[in-house]
Amino acid sequence: MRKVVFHTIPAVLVILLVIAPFIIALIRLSEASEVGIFEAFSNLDNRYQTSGAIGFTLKLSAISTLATVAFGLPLAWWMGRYHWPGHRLIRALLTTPFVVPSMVATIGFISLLGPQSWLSETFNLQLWHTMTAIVIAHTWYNVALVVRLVEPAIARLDPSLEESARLLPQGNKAWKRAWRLWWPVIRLNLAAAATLTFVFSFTSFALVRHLGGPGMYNMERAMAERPFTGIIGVGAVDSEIVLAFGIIQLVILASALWLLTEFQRRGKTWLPLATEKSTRLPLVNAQIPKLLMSLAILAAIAPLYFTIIGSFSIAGNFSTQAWYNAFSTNSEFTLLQPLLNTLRFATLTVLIAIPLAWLSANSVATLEKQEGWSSRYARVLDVMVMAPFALSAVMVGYGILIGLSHISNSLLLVWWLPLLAHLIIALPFAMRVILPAMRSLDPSYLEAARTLGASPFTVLFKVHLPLLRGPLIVAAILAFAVSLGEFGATWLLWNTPDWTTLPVLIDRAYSRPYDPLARSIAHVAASLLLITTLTLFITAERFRMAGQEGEF
Amino acid sequence: MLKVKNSTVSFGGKKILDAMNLNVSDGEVVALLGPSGCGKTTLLRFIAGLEKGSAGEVHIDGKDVTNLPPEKRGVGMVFQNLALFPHLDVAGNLSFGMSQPNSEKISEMLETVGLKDFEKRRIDRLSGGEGQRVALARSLLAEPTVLLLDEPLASLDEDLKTALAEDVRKILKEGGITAIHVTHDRQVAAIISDRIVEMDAIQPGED
Repeated sequence: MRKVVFHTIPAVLVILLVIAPFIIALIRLSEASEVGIFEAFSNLDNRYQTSGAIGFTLKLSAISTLATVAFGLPLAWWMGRYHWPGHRLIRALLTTPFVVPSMVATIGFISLLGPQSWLSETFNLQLWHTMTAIVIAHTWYNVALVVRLVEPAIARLDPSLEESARLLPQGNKAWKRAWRLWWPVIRLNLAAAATLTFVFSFTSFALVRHLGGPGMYNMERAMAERPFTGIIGVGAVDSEIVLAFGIIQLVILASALWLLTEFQRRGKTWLPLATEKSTRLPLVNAQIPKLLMSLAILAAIAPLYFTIIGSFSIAGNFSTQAWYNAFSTNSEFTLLQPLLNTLRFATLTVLIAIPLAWLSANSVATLEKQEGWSSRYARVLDVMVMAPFALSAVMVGYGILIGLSHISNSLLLVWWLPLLAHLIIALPFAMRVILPAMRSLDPSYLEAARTLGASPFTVLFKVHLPLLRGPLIVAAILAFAVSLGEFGATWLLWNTPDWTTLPVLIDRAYSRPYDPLARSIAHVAASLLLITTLTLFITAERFRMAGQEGEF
Repeated sequence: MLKVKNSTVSFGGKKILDAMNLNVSDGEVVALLGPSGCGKTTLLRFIAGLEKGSAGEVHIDGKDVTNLPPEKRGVGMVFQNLALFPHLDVAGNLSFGMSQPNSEKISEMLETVGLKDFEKRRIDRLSGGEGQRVALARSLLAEPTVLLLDEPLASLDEDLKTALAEDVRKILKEGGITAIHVTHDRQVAAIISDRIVEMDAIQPGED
C-alpha cells in the first residue's frame, strides 16, 4: 500500500502542474472564443493578424531544417571522419550555439545582421527583417544538433565494416559506400536531428519577433502577442486565434516527438561499434574541409563575439558606461534585481524539478519492469512528464495564465507564477537525463545494499544518489540553464518588475530603438547570460557518463 | 536453521518455483545445483526477500520472515556480478553492512579472505578473484544468519575457481556459517558444500 502511494505522488504532481492547467486553459479558451473550434480554424486565414501564419511557420521550419542538414551534415562527417588538432575544442565550439539562450542569440544576430552592423556595412547585406535572417539564425542554432547526433555514429562505426565493403563489388567505389554503408549508418540519427530542428524552428519566438520585424508572424509569435486571450468578452478574437493555433501546434509537435522516439528507438546500436580513437583518419591534404571547418567555427562564435563587444559600446563608440549602469542601483535599466530574479527562479527550478524528476524516473524505471497495470502506469507517467516537450513555451505560458486565472484571478500575481512555467519546461529535460541513467543502473547494487541491512533511506542516500551523482549534476545544470534562458513563457506571464528576468529585460531594452544606452545594457545582460550558460555546460560535460555523448 | 515451505514464485503467469521446500541446518553449507533457468537464483532472491512469492513461507531460526523486507531478515547475499559499490573503496564496501564500522574488524576480515592491506583499493582496480573475496567479506561482516551465494565464482577461470572454492569452504566452515551456494558447476558444488541439492530434483512436497 505504501508503495502504491509512493508511486502515485509523481503522477499527481505532474497532473496538477502540467496537465491540468493546460486542459483548463483549452476549455476556457473555447468558452472565451465565442465560436466553435472548426470555425476558429477556418477563420484563421480570414483575419489579418493570422492570415498566412500557418504557411509561413511551415515554410520557415522546413527551409531552416533543410539548411541545417545541408550545413550540418558535412561538418558532422568531417568531425567524425578525421582527427582534427584540438578535436574536443572544435566540437565544443561547433556545438556551443545549441546551449545559448534564445534571447542571447537574438542579440547576437541583431548585432551581426542588423542595420549598421559590421556585416551589413562591409558587404552591403540587407538581411534585417527578412526571413533569410531568421533561417540563418535557426541554422546557426541547430547545426550543433546535427554534429552532436550524427558525429558519434560516423566516428564509432567499426572500421572493419568499411574495409570489407571496399573489397566487395557493391562497395568498391566511394559513392557506392556512401550509399550502401554510410547512409544506413547515419540516416536515423540525421532524421532525429532534422526532426528536432523542425520542432525548434517551429516554436521559435524571440528570433522571429526581433529579426523578423513588424510584419513577420509565425504561429508562436501570433499566439504570444494577443493580449486579451482568455478574457471573456473583449478577448473573443484573441482566444479564438490562440485556441486554433494551440491545437494545430500540439498535433504537429506531438507527431514530431512521436517520430523522434521512433527514430531513436530504431537507431539504437545495431551496429558493431569501436572506440572513437581507433576509427578517425589522420587529417592529410584535406584543404577544403580545413577551410570550411574554419569558416564554420568563425560563424559559430561570431554572434557571441558581437554580443559581448556590443556591451562595450554605446552608439558605436567604446564605453564601459553600460556595465557601470547595469550594476548601479539608480539607473533605469539596472540588472541587479533582474539578475537576482533570474537566479532565484533558476535555483528554485532546480530544487523542485530535480526531486520531482527523480521520483518520476524512479517510478517509471521500477514499474516498467513489472507486469500488467504497473508497466502500463509507468508508460503513461513517462508520457505525462514528457508532455511539455509537445507544448511551445508560449502555450505553457497560456496554460498557466488562463488555467490559474480560471481558479482565481488573485493567483495571477503570486510570485511563483513564472517559476511554475520554468518548472514545467525544465522537468522533461531533467527527466531525459535521469531516467536513462536510472534504467542503466544495475539493480543489484540496491539489492545488495538491502541484504546488507540498509534501510530504504540509507540505500537512497548512500547508494542510489551517489551512484547517479553524475547524471543528477548534469540534470541540475540543464534545468538551471533552461530556467536561466527561458523567454517565451516568462515574457507572456510578465506582470510585475519582480518577475523581470534577464531575457525579459533584454527584450524590453531592445524594444527602445531610441535609447542606445538601454541597448548596450541589453548586451551586458546577454553577455552575463552567455558566460554563465557556457560555464555551466562546460561543467556539465565533465559529469556526463560514458556513452551519453549523443544526447543533449 | 532455514526453512523454505511450499513456496511458489511466478513471472508473467509462468511458475519459476512451484511449491518448493528446502531445509538447511545450522552451520550447514548446501549447494543448489541445476541448469540455468531452473529457478536457483529465484529461490535465493525469494529467501532474501528480493522477490515476492504467490505462496509459501520462509523461516529463519524458527521465525517467520516471509513478510519482512530484505534488510530485516538477517540474510546476506553475494551476487553473481558481486555488486560492489563503485563509489566506495574496499573499506567503504566492507563497512557498509556493519552496524558499527570498525577498522580493526575490517583488517582482520581482509586478512581472513587473503586481501591484507586492501582497505584503500578502488573497486575498479580489483581483479576478478579479489572482487569475489571482497564481496564475500562484505557479506560476512554484516553477520548474517544465512548467507546466500549466487554463482559468485562463475566468471573465473578453472584454476582460480577451484582454489577460491576451497578458500570459501574454509571460511564458511571456520565461521560456522549457514549458507546456500547456487551453481551449475558440479565440481564447485562438491568442493564447497556439505550437501548437494539437485534443483530439478526438488519436487512439490519434498522435504
